[in-house]
Amino acid sequence: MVLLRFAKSVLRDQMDDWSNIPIYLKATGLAEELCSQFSLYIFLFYFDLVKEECASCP
Amino acid sequence: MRELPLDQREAIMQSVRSVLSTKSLCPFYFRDNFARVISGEEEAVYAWTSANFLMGRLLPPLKGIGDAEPINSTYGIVDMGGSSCQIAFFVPTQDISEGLYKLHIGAQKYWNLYAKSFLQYGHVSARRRHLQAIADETTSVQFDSTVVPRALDYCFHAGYSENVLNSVGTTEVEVYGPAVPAGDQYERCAEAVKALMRKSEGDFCVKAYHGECSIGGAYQPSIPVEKDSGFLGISSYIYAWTFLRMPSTASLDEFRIRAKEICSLSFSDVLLYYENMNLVDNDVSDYLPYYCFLSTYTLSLLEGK
Repeated sequence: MVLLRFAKSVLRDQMDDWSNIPIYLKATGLAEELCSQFSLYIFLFYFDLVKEECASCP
Repeated sequence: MRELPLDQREAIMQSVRSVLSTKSLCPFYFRDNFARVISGEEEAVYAWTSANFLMGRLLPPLKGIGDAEPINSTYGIVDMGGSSCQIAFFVPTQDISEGLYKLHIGAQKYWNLYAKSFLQYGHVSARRRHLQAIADETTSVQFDSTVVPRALDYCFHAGYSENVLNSVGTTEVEVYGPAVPAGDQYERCAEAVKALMRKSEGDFCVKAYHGECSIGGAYQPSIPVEKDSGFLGISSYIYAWTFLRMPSTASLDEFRIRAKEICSLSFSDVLLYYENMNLVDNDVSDYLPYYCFLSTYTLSLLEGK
């Protein structure tokens, strides 16, 4: 999300064209320590997402 | 990510792709193949490209067609991350027996680069290899299972200790620095760090490639001498350079003198030293207990021994 926020901030003047701007994610060696934090983050993020969807879907 | 087993790697990447495919979160144009784990060679080449672009060495030689003009000097890069480290440099003679990466930029020009990545040679993974070797050695002999076994490590600052699991994950060992800084602490740490370079695996390389070898048994062509050029250390090299307060063009001998001074600090002195640094831009506090190791390892990596 930090990276996405950064991309949005850099490209804020092209907001109307965001859907045409490709975004790539290239993962590197990355230490296991970071991976475990990353996995936890993904998990928490999905938890929030599911909560949102549950709220809007009867 | 490259250190993880394939199934875990894929599971994480699938989660990432799902996030980036969700329009409410990622409004940009995304396809599944836009997110992937890159190879070590690609990582090396990206570092080389970024560094030379920023130093203004990349674009001028790209006029015309064919291979880039060798008269334009470029910087080689050494890149140290947490997990892996990379080296990449341009070889004007194009004499590269292995690890050649033809980097195309623009329509018709290309660079012949040597690019090599060493997995588990990043400073976090290297420290883990070092500590696990100590834990494995300690638990390989009989010990009293009612108490946590202990092992002395001269790469830890005096007064610092932490618990480390052995590589099979069955036993914890308390690894501790000496009670007071040892006079030859740097030398003792350097001796232990040597094993991490896995130079002994280079015997075959030396024979097969007539001595054109680096660390871990890897082939590396001779480094070309270019005018107005050299190597740039990037990523985690910054931590060591910043913490040791080295000028950006310090020699390895100058670096060694400072590394010896840092290794001779107790952990409480390290904390005090850091407080007095008053850093504004570079926060190097994450690795405070490990600066003796990091300095020694950095030097060992740069010297290849």
